[in-house]
Amino acid sequence: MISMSGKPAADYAGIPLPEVEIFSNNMLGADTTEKVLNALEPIEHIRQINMTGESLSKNINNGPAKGIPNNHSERKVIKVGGRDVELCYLVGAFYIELDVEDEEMLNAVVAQITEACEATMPMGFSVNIGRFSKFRKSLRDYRGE
Amino acid sequence: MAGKAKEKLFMEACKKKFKEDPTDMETKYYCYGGWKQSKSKVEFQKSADAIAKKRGVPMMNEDIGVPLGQRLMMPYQLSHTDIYVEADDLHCINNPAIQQAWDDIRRTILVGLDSPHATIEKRLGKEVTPETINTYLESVNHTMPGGAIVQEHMAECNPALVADSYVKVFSGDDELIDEIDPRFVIDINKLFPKEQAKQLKQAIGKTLTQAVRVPTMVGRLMDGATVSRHAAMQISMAFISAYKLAAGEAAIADFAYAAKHQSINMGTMMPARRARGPNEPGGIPFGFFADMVQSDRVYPDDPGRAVLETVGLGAAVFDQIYLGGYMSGGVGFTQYASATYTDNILEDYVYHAIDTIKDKYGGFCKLDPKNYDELLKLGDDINSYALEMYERYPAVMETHFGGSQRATVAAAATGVAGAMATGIADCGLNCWYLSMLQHKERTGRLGFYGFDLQDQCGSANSFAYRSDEGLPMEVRGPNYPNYAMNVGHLSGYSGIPKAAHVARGDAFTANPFIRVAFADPSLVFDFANVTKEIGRGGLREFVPAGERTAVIKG
Amino acid sequence: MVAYKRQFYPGTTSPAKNRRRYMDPKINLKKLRDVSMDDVVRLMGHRNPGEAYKSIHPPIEEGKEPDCPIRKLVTPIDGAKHGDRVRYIQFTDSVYFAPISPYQRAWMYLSRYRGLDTGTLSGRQIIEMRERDLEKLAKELIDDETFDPALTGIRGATVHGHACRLDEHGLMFDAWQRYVWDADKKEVVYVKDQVAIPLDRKIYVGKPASMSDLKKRTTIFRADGVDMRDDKEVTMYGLRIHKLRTLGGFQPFKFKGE
Repeated sequence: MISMSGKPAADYAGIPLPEVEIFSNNMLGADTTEKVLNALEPIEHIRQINMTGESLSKNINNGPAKGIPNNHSERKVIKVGGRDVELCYLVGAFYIELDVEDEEMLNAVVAQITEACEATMPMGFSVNIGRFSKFRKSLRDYRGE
Repeated sequence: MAGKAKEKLFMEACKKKFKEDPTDMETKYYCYGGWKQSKSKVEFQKSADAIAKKRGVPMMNEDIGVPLGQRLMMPYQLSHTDIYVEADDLHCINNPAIQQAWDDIRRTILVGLDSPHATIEKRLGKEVTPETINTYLESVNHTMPGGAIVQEHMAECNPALVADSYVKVFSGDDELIDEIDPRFVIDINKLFPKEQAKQLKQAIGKTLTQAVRVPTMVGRLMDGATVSRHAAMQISMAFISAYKLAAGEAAIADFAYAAKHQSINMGTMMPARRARGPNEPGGIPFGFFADMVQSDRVYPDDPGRAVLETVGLGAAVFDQIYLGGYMSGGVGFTQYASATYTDNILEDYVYHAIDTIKDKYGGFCKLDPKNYDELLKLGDDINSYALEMYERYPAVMETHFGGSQRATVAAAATGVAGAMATGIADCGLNCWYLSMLQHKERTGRLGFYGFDLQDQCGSANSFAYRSDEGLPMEVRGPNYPNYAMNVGHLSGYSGIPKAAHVARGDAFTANPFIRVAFADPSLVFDFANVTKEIGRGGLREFVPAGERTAVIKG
Repeated sequence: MVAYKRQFYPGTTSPAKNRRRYMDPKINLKKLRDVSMDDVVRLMGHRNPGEAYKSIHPPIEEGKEPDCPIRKLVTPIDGAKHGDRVRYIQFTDSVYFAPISPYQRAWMYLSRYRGLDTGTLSGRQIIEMRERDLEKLAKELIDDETFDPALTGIRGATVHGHACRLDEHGLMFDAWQRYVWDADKKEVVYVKDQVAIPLDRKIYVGKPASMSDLKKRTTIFRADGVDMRDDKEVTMYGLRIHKLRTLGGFQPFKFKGE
């Protein structure tokens, strides 16, 4: 199962590789997230995908109900490329880091990504290309060393 | 905005390397309710090409497919840098650069040399010459870090612990400065653009001032009030040695008196109810604080940057350390305070304000401060723009997910606009409160309860000058009655007087001595690059002073 | 003295009119649903339906009240008479055209009701009141037009969501998923009380309104709805308050008919 830490899925590149941001018009449920990820999975030159969203805690974390299971319907295990992924967030955006060499290659990959999202995100999204994530370690990454 | 292909800076920052057509973004991106998706028209920039060619990218493990990660929030980008860090990395307990910024402020005291020189010449009958001054400066640079000079058998500080301590001098008198050993000089002519140097030298005059930096360790181990005492003791010792005085004679007391009482502390005294000594962050007037920030010295053509850097430092020192730590206690206000110096959102609003001022009035300080109705119109324009961005771009709304963050950032932009358009900080402050009232009226929500207290009565004190009612913005500070308990405001307040004075082309905001003292390249924290330094702190690249590794078995 | 006629709120646009309507106690707000009183009690979670109210003091009539002219002047609300605890209900209103927003809640409550204390923040708005009076008020506020099942949340804690994009069903985000979408009935149904303790029965609060309807009903000015600047009177009113406060703190002696 894919672990769910705040760290990026792949090692830091140390340099700002291009990222495609897919910013959904609505927060996505687990089923839609699964569809989007499976549509993105076969696209070549994707180095890693990081999702952001709103946290769905496993248990109620404060107040009179503290400690009891949250049982949020969208916090569940989905299948991506045959792998189990435990989803902990209501996903709102995908940050797709690309392993491309030039503009032509970038355009081609972005076109494939856009197509995949169009097919799986009926409520719409916007695409943005840039750098949105850390590409170097910061203090937090050294915790526990 | 209409018809203009203006970049949203918060978007631009995200797309630093790979740009899309800004007009597309303006009309289609992120629009709530506007489902239409724009085609990506990607311009692969040169920088990106270079990166792609140079990179040595660690490869993923092909066996597991595309690596997937998930997280609550995106990392924060330090505004006007390419540094991304986590929220934790900006916490003042974690971030050594934020700590050093306050250390460098606290450990600075400016002590005049004119009075002790008069004592030496008129009371003791000894001559003061450039040569004797140089001898004194050598002595004081031995004593200030903790070196013994007068008596035998004195214990000394380990130099490795106090390597950041020194004394330099500066003056508006070029002839005098020419004769001082350049190692001990903060050279106004070299450090400042010509016009700024001229203004500063004129304001400072012939007086010779020491910028004393006591060891960072001293401020941390004792308190802010110790700084003047440490300086006074070590200055007195240096005088005794340099001028061959008898340590017991009564005139020596004059040196200590001058150092303690004819000097400039960075923080003024606060009332007893704050339970703080002198020279603590709550006592730093906004005008002094604005003078510490050096962006307009190094980047004189970018007044927006100067304002934003001041806001950034204000967030770190006033909101995070002072209100979040000193006054509130607990885990601090990182998330709230850092909204003003990350992700280029306030950047976008401030540069929009600058463009609007230039378009409407033909430049800074051209709006007559007596034309109050026009000032309100400007405030209304800038505030509406800022609030509209939250409404049109859900990404921005979610980045500033708390109303307090939005309220502060919108009010800061509006306040900065009022200050820059008129050149009067109080006009800016008045616009701050206009923003708050309009924000509440427009959205039906503002920040936490504190905003009711402070921001909904603030219009009434914004122009008040009588001493029991108000002060000019330059000499207000975090301890101004309504400001003393409400986090998230002090960053913006710091930026407002800075905005007025950079707009005027002033070389300083409130105090030319402080302005020059913080131009000193020997400081550990670089006050010309505040967000970059905080970012370096987050990346583990910043090396602070006062570390104890030299005396710990390791 | 000429009788003062309350105007409640300026403006000609729909958010301004809605603000006036909500604040004017003479206007009966539209009742859009009827959640039973027992279910309202369950949603709040302070007591079980049918359970006696807990008291913090004996009924006022039994006690020896000090001889105080103010106490004589004020008629106690029912819960105060009985010595009820002060309890709360808290609402979260989405920025995306929720029918009402936090400040309008405070204004409305204080204009329409007695005996409550209310607190306003950006993401939540709390009412505290004696328990039996609170229950009546809570039912009104859940049943009437100020509540939308999708964009209003009943949340005692962990209120985050007002600034988030809506989910695929158009519901405001709730980390504790106190309410869910019933796809068959096309209604929102509460499965947890306001502090996320699971309910032993589902409580339906009805169908969410359409976005076009909400845009007409909301009190929120937005650039993609009705911009506040399009309402000249509201804009002028805000500027006037600011201007008068400013002058009042600066040179009040210079006021001349402002």
